Amino acid sequence: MENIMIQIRALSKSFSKDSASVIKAADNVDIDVKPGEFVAIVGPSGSGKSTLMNIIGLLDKPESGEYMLDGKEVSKLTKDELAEIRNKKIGFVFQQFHLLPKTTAKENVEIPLIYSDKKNINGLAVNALELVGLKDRVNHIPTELSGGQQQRVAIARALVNDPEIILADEPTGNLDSKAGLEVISVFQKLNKLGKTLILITHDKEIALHAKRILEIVDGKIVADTIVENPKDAANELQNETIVEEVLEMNGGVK
Amino acid sequence: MKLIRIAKSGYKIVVAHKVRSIFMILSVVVGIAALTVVISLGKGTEQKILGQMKKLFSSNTIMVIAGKGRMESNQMKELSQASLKLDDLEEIKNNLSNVIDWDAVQISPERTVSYAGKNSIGLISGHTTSGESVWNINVTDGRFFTETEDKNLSRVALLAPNIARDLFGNSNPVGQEIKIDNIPFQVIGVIGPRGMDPHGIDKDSEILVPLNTLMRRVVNLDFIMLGKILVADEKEISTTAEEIAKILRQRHSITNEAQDDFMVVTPTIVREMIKTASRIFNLYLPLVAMIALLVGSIVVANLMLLSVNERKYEIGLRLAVGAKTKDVLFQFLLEASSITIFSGMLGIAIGLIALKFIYPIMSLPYTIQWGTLAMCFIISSIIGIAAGYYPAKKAANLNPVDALR
Repeated sequence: MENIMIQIRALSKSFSKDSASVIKAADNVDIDVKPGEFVAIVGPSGSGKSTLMNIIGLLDKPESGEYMLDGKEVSKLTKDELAEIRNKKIGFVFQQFHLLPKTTAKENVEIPLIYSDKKNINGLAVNALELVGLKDRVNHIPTELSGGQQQRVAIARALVNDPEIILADEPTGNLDSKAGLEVISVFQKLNKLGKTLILITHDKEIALHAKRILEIVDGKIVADTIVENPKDAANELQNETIVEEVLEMNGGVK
Repeated sequence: MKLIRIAKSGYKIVVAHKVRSIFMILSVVVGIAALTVVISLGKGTEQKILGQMKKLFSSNTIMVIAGKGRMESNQMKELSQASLKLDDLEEIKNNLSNVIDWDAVQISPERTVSYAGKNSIGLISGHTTSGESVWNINVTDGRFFTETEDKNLSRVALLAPNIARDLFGNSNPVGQEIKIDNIPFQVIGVIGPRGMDPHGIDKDSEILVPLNTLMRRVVNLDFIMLGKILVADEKEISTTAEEIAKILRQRHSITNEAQDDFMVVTPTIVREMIKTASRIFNLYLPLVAMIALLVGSIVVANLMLLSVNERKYEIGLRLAVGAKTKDVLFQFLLEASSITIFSGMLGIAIGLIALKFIYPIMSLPYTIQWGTLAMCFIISSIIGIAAGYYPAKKAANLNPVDALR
């Protein structure tokens, strides 16, 4: 009991697109996540992955069911208490990055700290950017950064307040495969550092980097698999670089 | 500490979105500056007109005006009333002990006056010798005309400052000979500035000549336009006015009040007129100001609303990473209030600077309606703050996921 971080029981949520049809985004879902896990939630679009993540991340409320976070029932908490938990325990990475425009990488990363009790905001933000490999982009604004770099700024923002859980909703959805791998390798690094990761994706290849895969269809969990040998994104990147170099050399010979 | 951090972060957003912020500031500044100018000018104009009316109508004054009509009716119509004579006023003076002094006035339409090849245009107004004291005319150079000059139809004239300047520049006109429509007149004096009268006649572009000279030599009329009568006992002024009317009716063979070919105007009547005029000012100007304020406020509200909708996602993000509703509200309240208050003060400052230039041009007394300005400033600030606060509050109360969408 003690080592279960996220415990969800019989959780449901539905949307009515029009009066005729009701879409079940979460249908009687049970999930347990232990600290240090790296869980990928996969499923086709419209299957309810994002809804599930938003509920897990306390951005949205379920219609029914229980959700215990660190042994605490969250459905009874006030908006402000939820905000405090989001601030301290949860970091978000969104598909659309959600960086504030015309605001530097550092200032974007600082935002969660503004609402925390932490001191030395500046140093923590720079450290977080260093951790995602963007130490030299601290004062760049989003439009001066590539998609992959923007997403890494968003990751730095997610981890700057040292949360236990990082939630990522299709973080590679708007990125090319190499930038996507870079982002995933950062996640794997964070997982090794002890962060609990929940990654939402429709891409099975990406999901294979997680340690555990939950498959969701029409709001129901249809499979819960442990990945025996998760792929190592850092390795793949290295291989890709080698392949690129070989190709370049061949091109040079011709 | 947290509040300071939120304020700093909000400030950075304002600075980052320069164009948006500048337009927001600009709309408030322009609105408030315009208000400052409109309200103050309105009050200045009102005070000027009231001041002139009071100056003309000291509390011991009765005006007898030829013709039956409103005071605002134009000059020509009054001229056409040929019934009021100089003798009428003499008769009034002789019969009523309360009358201590009087002056009769006739005015000729604008004439060309010339001196040494230089021309100017002005009204020629004829006065009796009492004119100087009855109208408080300030002779700055030379002298007023004498009884003999009036009786002998002497061609002597006093120049108002604009005419003196046009014809003589800086040199002294006294003793020189000017021509009014080719009739030579000797300048015997220059009078001080008197400004516009309530009819909009520029008293500084007049030429004063003896009444009889005017009537015989310039316009060839045997009637006067108006008489100004001063009474000794102000308390008896209404009775005196009635007696004046009685004498005039008798002399003009009028049996019925409705057929009066003259008007007797007392300070009481003028006070009524001033009240009416003031009511127009007191209703009309605030109305104009309110409309200006409304337009300005709508612009501000609009920009604030647009900005907040545009920033719904900033609010969503802040909520997602742990901002509480009150943190978001604090940021937006601070932003809206600092922008509207700063812009409001800047607008007032610019308006006041503009007034410094406008007042001398319009030769108005320098009046600033601090009370009204403060009210406008407060109302516009409240609207600006509400316009920034209300949508932010709505967004901050959404589920973060809905705000992010």
